Amino acid sequence: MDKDTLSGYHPTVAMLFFVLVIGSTMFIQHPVLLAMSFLGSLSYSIYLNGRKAIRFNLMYMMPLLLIAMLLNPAFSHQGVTILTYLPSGNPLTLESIVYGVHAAFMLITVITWFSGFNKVMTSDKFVYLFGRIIPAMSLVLSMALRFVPRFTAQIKIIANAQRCVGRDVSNGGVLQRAKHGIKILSMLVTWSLENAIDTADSMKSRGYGLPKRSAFSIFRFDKRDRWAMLFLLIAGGLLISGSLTSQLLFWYYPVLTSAPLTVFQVIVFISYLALSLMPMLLNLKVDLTWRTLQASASKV
Amino acid sequence: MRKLISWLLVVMMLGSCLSGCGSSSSGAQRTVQIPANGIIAKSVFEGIRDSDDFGIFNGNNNDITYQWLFIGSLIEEPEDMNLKVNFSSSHSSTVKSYLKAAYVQELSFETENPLAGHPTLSIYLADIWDAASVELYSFDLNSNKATLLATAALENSPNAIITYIPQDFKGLFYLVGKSEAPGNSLVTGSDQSNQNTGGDQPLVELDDTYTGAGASGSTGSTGEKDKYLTDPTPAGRPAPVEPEDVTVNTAVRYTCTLSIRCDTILDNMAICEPNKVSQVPGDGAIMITRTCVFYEGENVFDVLQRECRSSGIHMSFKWTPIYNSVYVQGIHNLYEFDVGENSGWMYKVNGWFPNYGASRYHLQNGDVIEWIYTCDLGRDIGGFYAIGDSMGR
Repeated sequence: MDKDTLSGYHPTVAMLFFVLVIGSTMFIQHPVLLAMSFLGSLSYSIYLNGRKAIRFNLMYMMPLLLIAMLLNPAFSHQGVTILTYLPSGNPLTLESIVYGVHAAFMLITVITWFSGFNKVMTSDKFVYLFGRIIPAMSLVLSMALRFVPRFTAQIKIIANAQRCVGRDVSNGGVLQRAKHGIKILSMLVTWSLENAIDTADSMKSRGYGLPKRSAFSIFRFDKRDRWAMLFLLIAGGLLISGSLTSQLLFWYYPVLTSAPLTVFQVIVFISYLALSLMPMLLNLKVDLTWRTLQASASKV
Repeated sequence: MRKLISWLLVVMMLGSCLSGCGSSSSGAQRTVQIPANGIIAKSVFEGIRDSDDFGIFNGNNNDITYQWLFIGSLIEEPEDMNLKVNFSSSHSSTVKSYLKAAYVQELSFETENPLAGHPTLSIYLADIWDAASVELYSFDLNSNKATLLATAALENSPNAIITYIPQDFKGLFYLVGKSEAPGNSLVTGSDQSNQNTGGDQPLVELDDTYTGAGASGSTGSTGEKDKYLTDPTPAGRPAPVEPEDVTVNTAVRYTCTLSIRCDTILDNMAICEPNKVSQVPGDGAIMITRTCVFYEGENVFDVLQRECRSSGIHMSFKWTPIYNSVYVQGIHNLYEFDVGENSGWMYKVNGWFPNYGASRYHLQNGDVIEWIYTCDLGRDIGGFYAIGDSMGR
């Protein structure tokens, strides 16, 4: 992701950003904040993944949204506004539907943020951040995070090789296809077992676990990182203080209740909007600078 | 002023009760003042019956206000009826000391014959009764013997309101408020009425007409739990009836009284979930005592569900196969665990907290049902015995 600006920032900045947006989305239940977070995550994922992100959101996130929306009122019957009664005899309340919508949006917002997290927080950054504090854990995590993309890449290689000899999942009848699919999977498992042994051997031969090893890192904390860090700390501080003084309180049950609107609340909202749109704004700024530079260069 | 408001509430709630019970309420509420001689003409009752309406009759005696509620569909043969109730205190102190009760109110009826239509009587006392339960006794002065006739519902909003459906009218009656939970120990079974329960225990027998004592008098005394983990029910209390074994007969209509209260939350506001505070009624009454019509074969939960639905009161429940009953999770958006981890809804019928689920309590005519919120496993409402054993396991 050389196109993305946040990826070029210091890992601590990127990490803090994701901790703040994902944490606030999960733990602060406020529809306004959620809407901003959703907007930020959606625009960022589209910027990062383009058409693929739009397709993913429509194909997987929309059904997920609908299911979560319908599922909540089936199990939760709290709320003062009784719309009708379910066949079981329990009430169907407006509040439970509204909360279902909130929960569904929270779910897809967090998933979308994590898709961005995976793009930006590559395993080298992760190991850089946590290698000192929790070495074994960060190694396992980075391996685990790499697991799925690596497998998908390898399965593609195997499938392509099989296609060349006419044994892909697209060849033959239903039974034949299934057989081919299982063969491909079996090859993948064989490869992964072999690969695991290779990895272990490789780590051992490079001296894994020996004391006094140093780690190379390419990251530098420069001026723009300081500015970004300052912004994140201010936005995060506002968010946390707003949450602790219960100014960001919002109740879905039993009555939709919001904390009274205050000036401070509005400030938190504005800073949160800036926070969730931060990677997009950075990208737009860079793009704009690039364009003006290009324009001025062509003039010369 | 508060009394006026609560009266208005009674009228309103009863109105919604009736419409929910399938009778078409004409909307015109008949509130009649009982004359000095107490006699209400046959034509009045005919009017109530023919319009399928309900009638409220208010009276006052000895500074105590009382109210009769007649349901039109239950009046089969209207006649001239004397509704006068007399409140006296001729032997109150004797009964009070004999039963070791905190509160006693003596009353008698002007009429000696049962009133047609099984009306509900609500008595509005001038003071607060700090009692866990109220029971109705008759007292034989010669043999010094108290007979438990029925249990009544008690509400303090703001002063004591006692509600029950009278079955007997002849002689003096005593409403007895007890501070402890309704003592089964005090009552010996009707078959052992001559046997004194203890040295200093007063002799109390259970009347045959004791409301709710149950046609299904099979009281398991084997000491073993049934297949739904229920301990044997105490003597004089109905054993559980499995809901799937009962067919509801809509041709036979009975009445019972129902109230839903959460007074205990008022004492525990500090630990109440902050988002639920707005749902706690100021006087603790979610539904003040109302008379409801039910069909033969219905259980406590059926009545609760119908009444809540007709009044638009929120109620959430869950079927629990292991207890073969529903579990009421929340009423009026006040859920279990909302006021501390020992909080939740319990129910009481005729002053007793059954040790089984509401779907298994088969109702009898005239049963007094109370749904009460507890903040301490029933200890604060005198019902810990209903769950004591299952918690001890």
